[in-house]
Amino acid sequence: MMILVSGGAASGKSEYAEALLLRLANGAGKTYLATMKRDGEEAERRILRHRQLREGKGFETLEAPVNIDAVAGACREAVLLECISNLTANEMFGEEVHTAAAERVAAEVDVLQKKAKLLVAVTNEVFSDGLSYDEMTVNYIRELAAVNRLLAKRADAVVEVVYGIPVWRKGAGIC
Amino acid sequence: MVLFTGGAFQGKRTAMQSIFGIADHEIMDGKESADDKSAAERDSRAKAVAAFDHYHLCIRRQMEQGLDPLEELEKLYRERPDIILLCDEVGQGIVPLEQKERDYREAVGRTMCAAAAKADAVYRVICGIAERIK
Repeated sequence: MMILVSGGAASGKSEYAEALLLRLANGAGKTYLATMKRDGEEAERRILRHRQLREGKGFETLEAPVNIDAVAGACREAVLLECISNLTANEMFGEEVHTAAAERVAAEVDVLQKKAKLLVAVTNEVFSDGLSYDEMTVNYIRELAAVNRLLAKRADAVVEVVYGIPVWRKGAGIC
Repeated sequence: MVLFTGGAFQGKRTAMQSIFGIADHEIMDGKESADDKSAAERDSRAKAVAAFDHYHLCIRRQMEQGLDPLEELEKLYRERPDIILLCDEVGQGIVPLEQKERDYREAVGRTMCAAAAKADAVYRVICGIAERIK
């Protein structure tokens, strides 16, 4: 089963995704698959905050900023993937540059989805600030939106988190 | 507490007024307390009003004054557990380049998560239409 969890910055989506996974995992082994690059103090602060949230909840943590399909075999049955927006950015602007990243990211997640019994994937709503951006940023926004659409189609359920409150967009009944 | 959120200019205030029957003079505005009213005057108004519009502007000001928005919300809630808060949803964009703007966005989000958890009802307004999500 795959559930896609989306929401804006500081919307409580991580907390919600984690609680959802804990509720549905039913005692299965849990992996936290982190895609954030460790690139400075602010990233470390975020990582620390998320680590504190997960502390004592039985997660094994794996880090894979790109090519998450390569670690699918190392994951336990229930996987919390955080997050699609970082993964997409890393695939687009990393050592290897993939301009059309949407298909690539979706294919990587597909491998993980087939392997995991339960996959909760966290993504991000970055589409509504109405600002004009340079071409690179616009490409990113477009690719992330495409990833979200592809994953939502394959997901059994999709939920948008608004300040900690779940607003179900698909499959409300199954969770 | 009741919370109205949603993007800018979506009709939060009008929706709130029609649902709760609140008149204009019963609404304090995050914009108006930007002027140089004394703190005491502001506090006494906060006690009298039914709703607080543009609360995100208060959060920005609290940060500029070195106050903790979460603590300020706690204070407001202790004094006015029945208050109706209206606050723009500001987190659905690209991460801002400026640290100050990133911190602001983070603070609005975390403060509103706390407000939504306390609230008896949360409405999200889009195109003037309010959806009760809690």
